[in-house]
Amino acid sequence: MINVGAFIGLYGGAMGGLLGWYFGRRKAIKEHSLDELHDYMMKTARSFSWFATLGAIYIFFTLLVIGVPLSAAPVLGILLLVQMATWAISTFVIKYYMSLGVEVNISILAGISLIILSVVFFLIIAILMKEWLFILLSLPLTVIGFYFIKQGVLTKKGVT
Amino acid sequence: MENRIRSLRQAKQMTQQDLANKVQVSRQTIVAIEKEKYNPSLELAFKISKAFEAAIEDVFHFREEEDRDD
Repeated sequence: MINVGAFIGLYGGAMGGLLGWYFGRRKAIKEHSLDELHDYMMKTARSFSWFATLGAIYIFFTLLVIGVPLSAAPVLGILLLVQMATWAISTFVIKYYMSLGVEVNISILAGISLIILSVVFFLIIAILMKEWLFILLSLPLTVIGFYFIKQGVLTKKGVT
Repeated sequence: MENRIRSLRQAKQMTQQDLANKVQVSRQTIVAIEKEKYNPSLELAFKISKAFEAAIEDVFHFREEEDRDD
């Protein structure tokens, strides 16, 4: 049985998004907004959103290991949401800071986000499961986060 | 990378928007380059230099980082 509402929502939403993208792009071309800085900002934002998606995948695997029952549709939906939302938000933040003339370092941004998100997430899991050892699961992500921060600082200094 | 875009622009009485139109980028890009927060591609650097009728080395020059280890 086909769910007509969901079908319309799925493809109607995609169609609306494509139309918005097309007309937005046409306007931007006229204003020379699709230049190399735009490309740089979009690539930086996309890179950040992939880090966030990687974190979300790691979290879902952890939930699976803990024994939380998961089904494919909501997991894929949440992963899509994490990817699209972090891409949109990071694009907005990078554009805003660039317009102020402030330099954005994606490695430092990703590192800090990874540490905060992993510690908060595993702290919540530890409280819910009443087992403090779950906090230790945030260690691998925290180490990766510190590695990103270190790389970002070195890049800023021009060492790498 | 350091640049003299602001001073050259002021000498030519050119606004950021004028320069942006001339080299076909957004004003935001000119702001980011002027503030040395974004290093332009070689192609854009040449276009900017051409807009000022100057050699690229008169507009941009590479500065070694003071705290560079190697």
